[in-house]
Parts: sequence; C-alpha cells; structure tokens
Amino acid sequence: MNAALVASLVLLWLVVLVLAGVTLALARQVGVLFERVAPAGALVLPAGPAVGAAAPVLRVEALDGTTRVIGEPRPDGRSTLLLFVSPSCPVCKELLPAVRSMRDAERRRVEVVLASDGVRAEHVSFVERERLSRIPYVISPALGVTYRVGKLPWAVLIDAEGIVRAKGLVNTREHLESLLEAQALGVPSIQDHLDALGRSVGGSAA
Amino acid sequence: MDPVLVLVVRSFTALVLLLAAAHKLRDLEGFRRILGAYRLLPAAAEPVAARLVPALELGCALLLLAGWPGGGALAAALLALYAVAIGANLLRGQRDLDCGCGGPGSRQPIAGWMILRNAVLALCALGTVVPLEARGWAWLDGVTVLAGPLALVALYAAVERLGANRVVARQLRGAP
Repeated sequence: MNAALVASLVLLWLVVLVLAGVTLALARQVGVLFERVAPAGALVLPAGPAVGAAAPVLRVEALDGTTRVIGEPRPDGRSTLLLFVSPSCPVCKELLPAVRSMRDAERRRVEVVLASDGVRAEHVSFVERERLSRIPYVISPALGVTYRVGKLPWAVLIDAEGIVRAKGLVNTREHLESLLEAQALGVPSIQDHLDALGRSVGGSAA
Repeated sequence: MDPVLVLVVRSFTALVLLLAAAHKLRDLEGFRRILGAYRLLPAAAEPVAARLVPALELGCALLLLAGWPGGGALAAALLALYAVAIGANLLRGQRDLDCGCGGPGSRQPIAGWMILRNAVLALCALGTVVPLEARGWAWLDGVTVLAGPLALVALYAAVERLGANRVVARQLRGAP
C-alpha cells in the first residue's frame, strides 16, 4: 500500500510539472497569436469619395422596380453597406454567405444593399440562384462610376447621416466585418487602428 | 506545520523574487523609468532605488532559501510595499502605468488583481515564521520539495502571461 502511494505521488508530481509547463507554453502562444494575428482590413484604394466625406446622393432603381436614394440621411438611424457585386465575379459568390449572415446579425445598425450594373435578366437569375431576394439589389451604372469602383467585390459603408465611414475591397468575411469595426471604432480603416496601436504600444512583442 | 509544505511555499516565493530581481537587473535603465512613472519617489532617489529594489529582492530570496525567519518578514514587507505603490496609483486614477512585474519586454498596466496577488505572495513569504513540526524525512519529501515550487512558479508565470494577454486582446478590440 505504501509503495503504491509513493509511486502514484511521484507520477502525479511529474504530471503536475508537465501540465504546469504546458499551461505556461500555451499562455505564451496565445499572447504571440494576439500580437501577430491582428485583424486584416479591407484594402482601401484612394479613388472615389473619401472616408469622412459626404456620400454623393444618387437616385437608383432597384431590381424589384422601386426607386431608392443612396447617400441621403436615413431617418431610421441605420447605416447603409453598399456592396458592389456582379453575377460573373467568383469572389462575390464566395462572399455571399457572409453577406447573408451579416445582414441578419447586424440588421439593427446596418442595411446591406447590393449594387451592380448590366443586363437586368442576368441579375434576376443571379438573385434567384443565390437566394438574395431578401436583400435590396440596385442596378445603376452611375453608382459604380460615382464611387469609382474598379475591383469587385467593393464595399462602401455610409452612416445614417450620409457620411462615408469606410470602404474597400472585401475579399473575405473578415474584410467585410472590418468595415463595420472601423465605423464602430471611429477610424477610417482597421489598418489605421492597428498602426495607431503599434505606435502607442510600441512593439510589445515580448 | 508540516515542514515540507512550508519548504515548498517558501521556495516558491524565493523563486518568484529571484525571477523578479533577474528581470530588473537585466534592464536597470528600463526599471528606473518604470519606477519614475510610479511618481512616488523624488527624481534624485530614483537611480538609487532602481538598484536597491532588485538587490532587496535578491537578498530576500536568498534569506528565504536559507530559511532565516527574518527573510520571510522582509519579503512580505517588500511585496506589501509594491501593493501599496500599485494601489496608490490606482487611487490616483493612473491606470496606464507599466507595472514592471514581468520581463523588460512585457508591458502590463497595473490592475487591482495585482494587489491580491501580492497579498497572497506576502502570505507565502510569511509562511517561514510558522513553527515547524519535527518529523523524519523520507526521500519522497525530496520529490515534493523539488517539484512543488517548480510547478507553482510555472503556474504563476502562466497567470502573469494570461493577464498580459488580456491587455493585448482588449487593445485590439479598441477598448481603452
């Protein structure tokens, strides 16, 4: 009995030591992850209305035949996330599940509006194929020209007062969310936020 | 109290103090700046204090390891002093202050839980003044005395690191 207790205690101490070491190593790794894997932001190109400027007010036609005004102040206090897509753009298609879930999760503060141009019939079948009928879909060549959209999928976030709050090339869900995050933080882009952090924290890599 | 328990706790406290002294001695200039940021000492006393504090920590650690009861009281007083310094700055509302607890690279602002941490450490240091129960030694006691403090120090370092991680995570999220 005594020998059994001794053996078990020695083994337990060994296990405790290894576990404590593993815990420390994990805590360090989590710290490194926090520092290295900072969020990725949408790529911002300088063309088009600048962040902080008033969005141009444009009257556009939606796919369902109604007319919408993009860029004017909204009485419901929500922002507008204008997402430029095209039926022929593969990255847009990959992004659509993220757009659908974001529309539901953020509906209190953001209305997602899809924007495109081109032949109407193509868009109708696109909407049907991708089950987008619940998301407003506007067709206007003028919109893309005004915002100088060169690459798709391109997103512009306009706040309730009609001010452009964030914009950029959104290839992933993370990029898309970075726009809302930038608005919530009150910065032009997540990159600016991280740059500012880097300056104030000053290379905290331990 | 059982001598093994006292010895484990005492060695753990000594190791923590040794590590703290080593951090500070590796970057004395950095520690002087941290000390200055605490704004508790006149500027003229800072260079002296910056050398005195790690020397005290080293001394306390050695006295604790040697088992001199006075060492425990001294270490407890030192740890309580840190808690007071942190508490004073928290009361002043100066929260964005590097605590200087970790190594030279780790930047961790002071926080309320550190006062609790120091109180626990001070209690551990005071463990040396408890009268020991006389009993025979078995070789298993050696295992406990070796492994116990090491495991405790590793866990202590892990808790410190997690505290620092939380600060980084909060900054990334954009909170003050």
